[in-house]
Amino acid sequence: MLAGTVEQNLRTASLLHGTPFDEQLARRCMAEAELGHLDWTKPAVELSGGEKQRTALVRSLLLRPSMLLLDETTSSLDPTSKEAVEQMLNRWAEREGAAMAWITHDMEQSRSVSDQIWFMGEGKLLERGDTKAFFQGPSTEQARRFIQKPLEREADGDE
Amino acid sequence: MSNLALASTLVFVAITAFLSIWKKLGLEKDILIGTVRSALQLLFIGYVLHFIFDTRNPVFIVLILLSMIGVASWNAGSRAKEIRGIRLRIAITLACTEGLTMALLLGFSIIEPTPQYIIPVSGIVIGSSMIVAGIYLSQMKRELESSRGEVETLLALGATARQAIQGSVKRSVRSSMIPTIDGMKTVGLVQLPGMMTGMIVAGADPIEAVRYQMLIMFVLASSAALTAILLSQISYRLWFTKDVRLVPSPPQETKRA
Repeated sequence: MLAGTVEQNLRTASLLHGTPFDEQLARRCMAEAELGHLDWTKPAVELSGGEKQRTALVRSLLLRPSMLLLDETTSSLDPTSKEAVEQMLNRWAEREGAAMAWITHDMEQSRSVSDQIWFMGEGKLLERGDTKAFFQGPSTEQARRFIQKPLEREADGDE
Repeated sequence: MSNLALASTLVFVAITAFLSIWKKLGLEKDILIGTVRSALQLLFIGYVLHFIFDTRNPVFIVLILLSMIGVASWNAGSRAKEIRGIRLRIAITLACTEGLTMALLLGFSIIEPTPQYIIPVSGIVIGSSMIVAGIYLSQMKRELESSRGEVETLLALGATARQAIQGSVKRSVRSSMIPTIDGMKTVGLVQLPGMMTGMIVAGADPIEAVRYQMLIMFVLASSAALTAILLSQISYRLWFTKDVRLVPSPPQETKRA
């Protein structure tokens, strides 16, 4: 987080680029990220880890980028906030026509947010293709094992 | 001062050396080097000044000012050796500060255009600007370790190099100017400045000495501001690579982290 209040953080992008600050958009994004309750005059350093992560994400969105690179963007979030962020980003991509590249270890997440999967392992791009096709029948052994692990865990949980 | 009196000043060196040996500080060698160097350097500059005052040739004044700027830039630049091209920027800064200050001092006829005035006042201006530049650089290095995240976040949000480093630059400029400004507040109460003391010892009227010291204090404040701001403006880009990433911290810091 940058020094200053939540509001100052959110205003950073428009300040840097000399564009007007779209407060309505910022409020909507914050609410969608389940941060609607947050006091904007609060110093940003006092936010919790998850709040910081989501505020930083909204701060980036206010740049209105045409492409988003999301590196483990929900890593320190609880399941509810994680879902909220996923939905917010998907809605954002639709509304703004932005492309998103998610980098994640979370198989469920990759299944729910993406159209295309690029599966990396051993420092190489092992597979690339349609998300549905990938989860139905991955062509490499590594991907198969990676997909099965969480499923096994779920199965263990059910027993 | 008689030669005997001058020789007797070695008693102070003896005290220093004795304390170092007695308390096993291991500084004897440095004390010896320091004593010999300060004696030789001062004698050397004494004879050089003697020569220049006699010849009154402006070329020698310029030469001596250039060598002062050269030594000062080299010295201040060692605070940030790993930043390529920093010494050149310091030299340009010191030359501009010195040039502007002298132009004003001579232009308003505050001092006389003779080597007796120009050289000592320039020495004070360049020497104090060197210290300001040194503090600025070491402060910037500390800033770019502690505020790395801030600068990189701003870069990620599309800031230019100048926008991203602005906060660090401002804080470093402030820190580099504070000692000079604090010095202005306590001068005369806490310390009697060297120049004034020297004039009084050499027989000048204390009031006359004070008037010159006031001039020096105000000149120092403006040259500190000029140096810090000019150096920050012409050097901020050096902390970034060509493609506007922060230059990596020096290896020893990375290892620690």
